[in-house]
Amino acid sequence: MIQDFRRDALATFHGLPVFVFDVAEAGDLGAGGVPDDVENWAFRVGSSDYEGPDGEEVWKLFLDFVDTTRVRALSLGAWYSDEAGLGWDHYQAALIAAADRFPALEALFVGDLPSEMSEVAYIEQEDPGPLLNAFPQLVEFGIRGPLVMQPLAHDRLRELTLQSGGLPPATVRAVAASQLPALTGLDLYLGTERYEGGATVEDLAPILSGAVFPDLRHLGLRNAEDTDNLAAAVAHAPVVAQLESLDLSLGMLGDEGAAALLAGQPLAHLRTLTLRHHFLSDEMISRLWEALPETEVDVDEQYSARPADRYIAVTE
Amino acid sequence: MRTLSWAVVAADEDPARDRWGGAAREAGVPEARFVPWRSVLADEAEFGSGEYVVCERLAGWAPVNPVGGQAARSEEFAAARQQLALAVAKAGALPVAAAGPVLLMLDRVERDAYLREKGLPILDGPQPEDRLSRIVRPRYSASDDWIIDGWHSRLFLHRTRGGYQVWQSPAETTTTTTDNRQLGRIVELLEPDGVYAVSGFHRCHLINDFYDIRFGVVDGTVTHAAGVVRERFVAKPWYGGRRRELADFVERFGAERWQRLVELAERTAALFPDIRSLGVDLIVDNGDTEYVFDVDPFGADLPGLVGLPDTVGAGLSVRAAVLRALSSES
Repeated sequence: MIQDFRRDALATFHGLPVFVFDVAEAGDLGAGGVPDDVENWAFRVGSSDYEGPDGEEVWKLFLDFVDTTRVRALSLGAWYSDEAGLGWDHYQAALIAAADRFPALEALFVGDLPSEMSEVAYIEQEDPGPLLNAFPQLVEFGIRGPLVMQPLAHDRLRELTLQSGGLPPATVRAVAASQLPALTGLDLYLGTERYEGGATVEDLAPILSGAVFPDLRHLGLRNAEDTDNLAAAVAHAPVVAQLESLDLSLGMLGDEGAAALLAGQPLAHLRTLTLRHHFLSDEMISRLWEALPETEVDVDEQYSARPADRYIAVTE
Repeated sequence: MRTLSWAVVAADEDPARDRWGGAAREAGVPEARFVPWRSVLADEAEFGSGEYVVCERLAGWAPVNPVGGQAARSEEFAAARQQLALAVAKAGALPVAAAGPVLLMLDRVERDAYLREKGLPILDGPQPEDRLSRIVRPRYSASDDWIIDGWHSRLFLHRTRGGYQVWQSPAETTTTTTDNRQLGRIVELLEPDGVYAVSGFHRCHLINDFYDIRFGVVDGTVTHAAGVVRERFVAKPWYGGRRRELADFVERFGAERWQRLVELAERTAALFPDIRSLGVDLIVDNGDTEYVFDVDPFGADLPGLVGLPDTVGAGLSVRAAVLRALSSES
């Protein structure tokens, strides 16, 4: 799945190192220009500097300068250099207009802004439905920022990531209502109610049932305020039996949630259980390791706080 | 003028091989003969009389988790480098970098003691009050392997069933390393491998970033220069990232101070005349203070950057500039 978001833009995407394309003049690319092996890089295209060129100029040069027919992975930086959170309607329209120039595009990420350009809460995203329609060959799609969208429909999409400090419950329901028959990996940054997040177990119920995405092998219910409740629901959710990896990281998981997880259905079939950024005690970590001897349990970033003082990793 | 005859000693999978290939095309010289390190270690490598020999790292050019192992790698490299030096000398070939000074540079403690003794400005070791602002790097390395700069770092503690390891994230991990206790624990875990700390320093600031200045020096003369962002993670900084063009620095520093920085880089390189291509990093403030921060015996890592006008690197990458210099004397 896509690299964790905390504050930085992606360094790798779709298993490829990111090549930053943020200039509007070919001469500014330097002696190396762009790599010859276009297919071995993920291109982040757009403005990346408050005083740099706007994305519109950068995009134009990118189309002129790079053999886009060989681009496999594309992430979109800012359209406006001075208001990086805005302009996604323009960027989406520009990309859709050029869709036929990207026959090899497998992976697309929208809103790849480091927090210094725009805090995640202020990225005003557009419904990604039209983009997915324009790129029927995509297998991986990610988007950063708060998002209101209609259910998606795509035949080939295997991995979907929505990164946000607050994913509206209606958006979570739209994901659950999407027609994505090939989906094997889903990562949702659920976020905080303060930024319009706060999806509940009920909103996630169709996903947890395992019925809507029958090929799902990875489920990430991440950056959630009520991770304990989610863990308790996951403990009995039918979808778990089909998973190879479960990710409840970046949230507020405490001993109560982990105990519920251990008391539920068997988890020993999981290859990985990711709980990074958590509030578990050492005793509970030992219990998890003992109960899941063959599972890679990621318990990095242990924090200590009373339940009322816990916090999620990505908010504003 | 003879055709340039040269060899690159590198590991089979080292990407530097391709980079030298690209540099050869750029400089318009024949491609190098590739000599794998394994043949050097097996005493099977042969060199020609008068052949220039470029030497790359034995291993450790790609970041791996868990972080560490520099001390052991450095020891292996030192042994291999001496073996190579013997083979090169026996054949009458010409090393582009002599083993002795290269090995000195791969120990930051020894290197900085030497530079200080020669009168170059080096940051002092950290004082107790610098605990949150000190700069920590591996002792046995001269490259950008890992760095803890104040509270900025890509290192984090990874908890395993057997204890803790230090890992490096693809991006900055401020959320984990803002915790002073965790930073201390990271340093403690890396200490057996050798760490090198200097006091923190308020760097020069341009627009949104704090920069060091990296100079490429070929045959004692600065040929390349660019800014290096230290306190923030930048993906592929010279591949169209936030490379701060020279003009911005010169405007900020003024021509006189800029000339002083160039001279400091060249004074540093002058102490190592047997290394044809050096990277010299200076840490500078917005006022008039500057120190030598790092010296890279494998040449300045500035991919994609062309050299300054009126130098052997004009219009060329660092590696191509080296080849141009070698070919001009062949």
